[in-house]
Amino acid sequence: VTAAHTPTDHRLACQELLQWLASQGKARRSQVQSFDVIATYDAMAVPYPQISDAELPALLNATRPSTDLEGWIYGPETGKAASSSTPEIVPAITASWSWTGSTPSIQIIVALLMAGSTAQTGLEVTAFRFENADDGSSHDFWHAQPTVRKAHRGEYLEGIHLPLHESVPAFPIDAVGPVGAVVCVLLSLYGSRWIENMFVQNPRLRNLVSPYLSELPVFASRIAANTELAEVSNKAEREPAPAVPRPRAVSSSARSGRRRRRR
Amino acid sequence: MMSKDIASPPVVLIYDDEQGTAAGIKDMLSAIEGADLKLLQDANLEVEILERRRRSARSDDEVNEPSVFDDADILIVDYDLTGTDERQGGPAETGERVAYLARCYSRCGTIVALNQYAVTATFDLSLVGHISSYADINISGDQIGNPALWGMPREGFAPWSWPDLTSAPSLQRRREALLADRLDEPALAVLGLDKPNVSNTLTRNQLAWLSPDRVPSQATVRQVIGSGRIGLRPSDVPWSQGGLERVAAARLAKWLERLVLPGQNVLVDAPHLVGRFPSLAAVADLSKTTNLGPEADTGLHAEKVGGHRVAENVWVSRPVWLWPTLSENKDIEEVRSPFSVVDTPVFFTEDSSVFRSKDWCRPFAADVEPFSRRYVTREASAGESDKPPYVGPYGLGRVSYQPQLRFAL
Repeated sequence: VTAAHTPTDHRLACQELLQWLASQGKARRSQVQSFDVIATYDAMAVPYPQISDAELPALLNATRPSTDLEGWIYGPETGKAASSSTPEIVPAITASWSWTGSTPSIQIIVALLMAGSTAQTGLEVTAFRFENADDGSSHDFWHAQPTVRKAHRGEYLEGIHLPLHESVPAFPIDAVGPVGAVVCVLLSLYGSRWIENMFVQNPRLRNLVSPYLSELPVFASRIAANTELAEVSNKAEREPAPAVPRPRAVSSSARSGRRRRRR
Repeated sequence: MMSKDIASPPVVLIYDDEQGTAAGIKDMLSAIEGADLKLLQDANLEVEILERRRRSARSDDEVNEPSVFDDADILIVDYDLTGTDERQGGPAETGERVAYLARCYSRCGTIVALNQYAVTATFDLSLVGHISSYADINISGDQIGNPALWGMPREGFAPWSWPDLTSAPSLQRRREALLADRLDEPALAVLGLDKPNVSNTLTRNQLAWLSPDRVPSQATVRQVIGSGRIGLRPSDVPWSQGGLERVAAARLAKWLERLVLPGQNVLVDAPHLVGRFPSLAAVADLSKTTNLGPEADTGLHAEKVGGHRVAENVWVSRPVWLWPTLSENKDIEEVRSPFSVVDTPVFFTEDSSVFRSKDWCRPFAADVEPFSRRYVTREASAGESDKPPYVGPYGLGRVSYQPQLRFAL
């Protein structure tokens, strides 16, 4: 898959993923949210400056071989679904990538800001960076690791309680390329159902990103399961069981063969 | 042809302070079949009758003077009414004031305001309409004769937000009838948007227009029109029997049509639906999905979308379905198999309401989330400006796209 796609294809897929995250965050902020989350947005505005709507597409411009967002994308709040006692967090993401070397490099910083009215008096932040393999080092595999800085040897992120070791543990991630790394970030924040829903809602993004997903074990099994389910379902629709009453069948001409071609 | 739901022939009342301009509008509409076109005479006197109705409603001493506005199925009113003819306007008169009075203090059907926000053909790339205007439709004066507004084929400029004016008055009457005994029900329930998974997708801004001082999900139709930002102005009270229903029918419809529907994330219409789920198209020709008529004419697989229709599909000018539930329906191929590539050879253009191939489309970022990426028809290349869809008084060549910033994706 990777060989069949140009660097611009890769960057375009990364761009669409990050723009979708930004648009989901913006949509969520326009809806009714908890006071804790709104207070946190206020408190994070200066130390984690948000990239404007107008700037983001230009910064993520896929035709350029490298980019550094500098500012932050605010995603929808998360972290409460699994347990109501778990505090909500507001994720802020920044990224940089380069296709100028022999292999592409990408670094995505994920800052997790604890939501609460106390955010006004001091942010509570944990942060991780997702990045490519660093050949020749102990991090020679695609991984995520804790971080306290915005970039290697760069400025410290506000709200992180030091000391915190930045090098270990380095968690291996499923990615074998930049698109997979961005998907892993979103997967780690929102879960696989959110990813599926993203594809359902956005066919353009789905077409740009889905070719890369089969390289990720977590999605490869889902893709296989979905394909099998679709085949069973399609077969059932084509061959209605005679003994069981079924809803009115859709005519084969109406289906027009598009489904079979797509598979 | 005008809808048969309205008493025949339907009356189109034209109000412009310049008699020559009014006659010009009448000329432009002469091709509209079956319409009784009338120019408003002695406009100041007629508007004063509406003002008297407004005052009398406050005092419970109701005025029953007849008004020519009551007989209008469609009122077309220019925004600038400051002309020198002392019978037809005045230094401070505006079409917006007339639209408000006609909406709240007459029985007129659909109100079309001209030249309030643009005086020549303009496509608003934000896609969000002017909810604060009491006119049901706001367009530039040069487009009032555009066939696309009157249920005829779309060949040039035909914004998707435009309704079919030939059926708009009958939809308004059907909404009024529907509201007759439901004024004290929550407005969102009447509109079919009260389920949490649907209402939670509405934005703060959308909800705020309904009720400034109550939980929006609980605000009744009566409260929305009585105290909401889309309803009567402070101190005004409904006029005459059915007055509240008439105002509510128009204002809730505009709220849905111009503030909620553009996002396509709460309600979704047929062309945007097949753009995401091509498998729902029952026919290869996607142009059927742009029919504003009955749901059965949109060329979708009815058995898959039927369960997601809005309870009463009279609230907007086209068939719509509930996106939050539809997007979770595993009977739909694209939902069942979210990782398969979706075949999208054509894109829906919002400025002309037709599907075009990619090389004819120009993307832009609308002021809606998350479905902000939309398309309009690209600019004419060399040698194309004198051909469709660019040529002619209603061609895309005359259209100004604003704000241009929205083309920077």
